[in-house]
Amino acid sequence: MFITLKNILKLLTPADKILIVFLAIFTGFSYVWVSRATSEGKSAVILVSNKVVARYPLDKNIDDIKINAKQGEVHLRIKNNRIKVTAAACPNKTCMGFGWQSRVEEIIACIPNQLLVKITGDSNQESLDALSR
Amino acid sequence: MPSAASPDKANNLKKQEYAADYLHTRKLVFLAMLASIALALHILELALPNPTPWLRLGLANIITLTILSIYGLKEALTVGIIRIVLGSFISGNLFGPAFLLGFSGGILSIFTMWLALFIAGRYLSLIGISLIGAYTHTLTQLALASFILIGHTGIFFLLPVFMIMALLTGLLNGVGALILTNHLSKARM
Repeated sequence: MFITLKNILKLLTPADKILIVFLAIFTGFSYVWVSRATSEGKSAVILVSNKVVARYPLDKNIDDIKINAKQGEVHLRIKNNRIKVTAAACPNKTCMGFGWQSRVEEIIACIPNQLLVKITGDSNQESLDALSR
Repeated sequence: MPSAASPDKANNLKKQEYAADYLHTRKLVFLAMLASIALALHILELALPNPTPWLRLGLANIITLTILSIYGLKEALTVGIIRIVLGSFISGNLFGPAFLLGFSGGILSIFTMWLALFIAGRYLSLIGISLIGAYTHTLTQLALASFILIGHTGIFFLLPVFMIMALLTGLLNGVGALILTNHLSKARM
């Protein structure tokens, strides 16, 4: 028997087609689920003038982090794996408007203070190394 | 009724024994041949260029499916165990973590495919059974890898990649098994 796409379609029973559609949907859902589950950040990197000044793990609650930035102190709070700016010495308080951030690649930026908070998923490195061994 | 009283009856009995013996030998040889083909496919896969060590085509599953549909669970399990143990022995990771994953995934997928054949064999073709086997294999390996070997759910990052691969290889192997069983049905087994 010569295999063509038509032949394969003829070989499939209706139940097969249902199964394939079901598994394809299952696979799609797994993608959505993983992309949601894995985007939770592990640590927050704080940069002032493009230099890393501090790095905090997001799984420890810290009430008040003080960072000395260009125009004065910026206060940050970490709670329930999320981080936000609670108070800042800047004119328009845009950084406070970012609210709680928790996902990888999310940022909090304060332009007048030249402050940038980046969220990374870094603490996973070890387990991936164990896998590839 | 005196057994084997007449020479005629005894002769008949002997003939039947011979026939049974003949069939048994035939089956034995056939299973041995299929096992060696499965092993060859297993090793051929290792030789194929592969971007990662985990994504595999699972071509040996064609043989497993064929044996399942022609003979049954016992024979498929025997050939499957022979193939996985010898294959890991040749590739050099017998009793290593990769072997544990492959072995448990392989055995469990044979059981699931048998169950699927038993329950839904009338509705599903071998392509559907193959898909079920591929997904069982993938999910078993992932679950084991994340919960036992690493103790971390980080490996589930790879879930969608594995599942897409399972879908494609499941289809491919199912078509292969359908064609093989179709050809073998013309032979006397």
